[in-house]
Amino acid sequence: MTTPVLELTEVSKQFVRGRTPVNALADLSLSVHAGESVGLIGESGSGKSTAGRIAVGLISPTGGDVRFMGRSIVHATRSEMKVIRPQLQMVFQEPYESLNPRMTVQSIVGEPLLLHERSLSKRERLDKVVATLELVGLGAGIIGRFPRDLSGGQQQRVGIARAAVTRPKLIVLDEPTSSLDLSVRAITLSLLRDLQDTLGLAYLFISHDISTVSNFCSRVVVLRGGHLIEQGSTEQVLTAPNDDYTRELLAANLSTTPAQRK
Amino acid sequence: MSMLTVSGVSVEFATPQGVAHATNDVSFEVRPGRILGIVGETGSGKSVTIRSILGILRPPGRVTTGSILFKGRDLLTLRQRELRSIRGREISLVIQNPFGALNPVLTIGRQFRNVIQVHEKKTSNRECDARAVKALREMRINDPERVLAGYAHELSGGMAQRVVLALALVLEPQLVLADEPTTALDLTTQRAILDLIRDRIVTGERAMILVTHDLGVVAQYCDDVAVMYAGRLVESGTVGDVLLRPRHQYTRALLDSVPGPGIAARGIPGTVPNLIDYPRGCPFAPRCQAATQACVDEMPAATVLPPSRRYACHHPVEAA
Repeated sequence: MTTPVLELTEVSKQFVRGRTPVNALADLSLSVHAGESVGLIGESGSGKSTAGRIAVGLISPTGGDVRFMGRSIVHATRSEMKVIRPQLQMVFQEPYESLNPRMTVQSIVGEPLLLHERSLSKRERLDKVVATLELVGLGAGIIGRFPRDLSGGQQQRVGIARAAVTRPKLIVLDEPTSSLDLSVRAITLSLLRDLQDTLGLAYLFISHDISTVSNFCSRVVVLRGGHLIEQGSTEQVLTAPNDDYTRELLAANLSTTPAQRK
Repeated sequence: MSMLTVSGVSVEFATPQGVAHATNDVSFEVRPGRILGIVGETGSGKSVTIRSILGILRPPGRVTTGSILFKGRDLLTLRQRELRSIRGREISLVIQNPFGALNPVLTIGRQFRNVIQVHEKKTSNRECDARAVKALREMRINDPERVLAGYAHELSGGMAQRVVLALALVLEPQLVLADEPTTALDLTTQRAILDLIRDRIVTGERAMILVTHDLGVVAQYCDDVAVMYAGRLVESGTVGDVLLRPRHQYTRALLDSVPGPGIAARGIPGTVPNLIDYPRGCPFAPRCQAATQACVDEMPAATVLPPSRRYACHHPVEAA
């Protein structure tokens, strides 16, 4: 058995709202292996985004452990985290809001290199930025532009390039296509798939969109109210779910085949 | 019989960069007891179309040509005072973000009183409250009295959208315009709310325009559909006809963009045209696989198949 790229073991997260503690996550265990895409589905408040943020170390869990390539990121020292961070990246739901409006595409995509690969010369950094933009289907001509000059789909590609520029092992994708138009969504997904093949990436794919997950992920984890409801292969969970809640979620997914009506 | 007839409506926004053609020659009908879905992507002109019906286009937007007939009157020629008496009472609007529609510093009950009393000044507060309770119950809110005494921030997103729908329906308008009313909600909540809407519209012989980018919502809850692209209405007809037998190349490509188990969605390469430097021919031509020189040179005329089918494409998809 190989070591998973990412492993969450009985992860809990408690937030305190006023005086009341809120359990955002309770004893969540899941793993993502190299080259794999694992879908994390659930409704608002299910804890899926919290789980994603914990997985990349943006917030710390109140209980349990998170291991990246076998090493705990919860108990890692600052210098250990410095090595781990570039290998663990994230893409956010709202492309425009996750890009600094006053930075050019070149500075946005190059910024992680300034932090993590400080030995690079200016020239080497630019080459790497351009090469990564090409990986996400954006030409070098775009580097001087600002986020507002780009379409939603292009903005999200810049967000993906920023995550990929340090050549990570795992990217957490938090609803990466939810705010994109349908025609752009499919293109973005196929680009993510190509990127996965080229760079040997693993994805934790957070989504409420069952159709997208069914198409993109090999395994699925269903969350509700911070609890794991079920997990398994995409086919098993989405065609023969074990839990009533999963069945309810699937039933609420609207088919695009018209309802029979006069 | 049509309740609302939109004919040849074009909307322009004068911007410092030039005139943006937000909608071009848009025509469609809304019939009683039916829900018309307007689908389209960002910038297709869906919301502008809805806003032009109510005369609430954001400046500098203005309707340059066309007519919008509602019960025999052209809404585009009415004075603001006349429009005010129609808005909310005969035609109401539901927007995507319920918290943007509700006033955060007034109780929900007070907002119902405002909506009712602006149209029916003599209605007592007690009578307003009774009608509000009834409207909230119809939206399956179990403790309407408690909701009326409270404020918007105490509600979940799903509850807030039910309150907004109850407000939109409390005066029993014939026509409800809803702009992505369930997009921000969870799937299970979306389904519950759409079931309630459909029931209220269809049984009451009211009508609704439901703006959405979700083809699943159209397929399951709408009777008719109009597909918009870059300010043009490219195809319309019954949901069964358009979704199962699309004729316009854009509709076909959009349907092919829906992912499914084992089906890789194709998507549409390229981006929508600039609305300022608007193309002379079909706006979809630059992204269309079937496009020829004719598509670039000339906007195709609409093919009309009675009773309600319409599409504007030089190279319509062959019927399978």
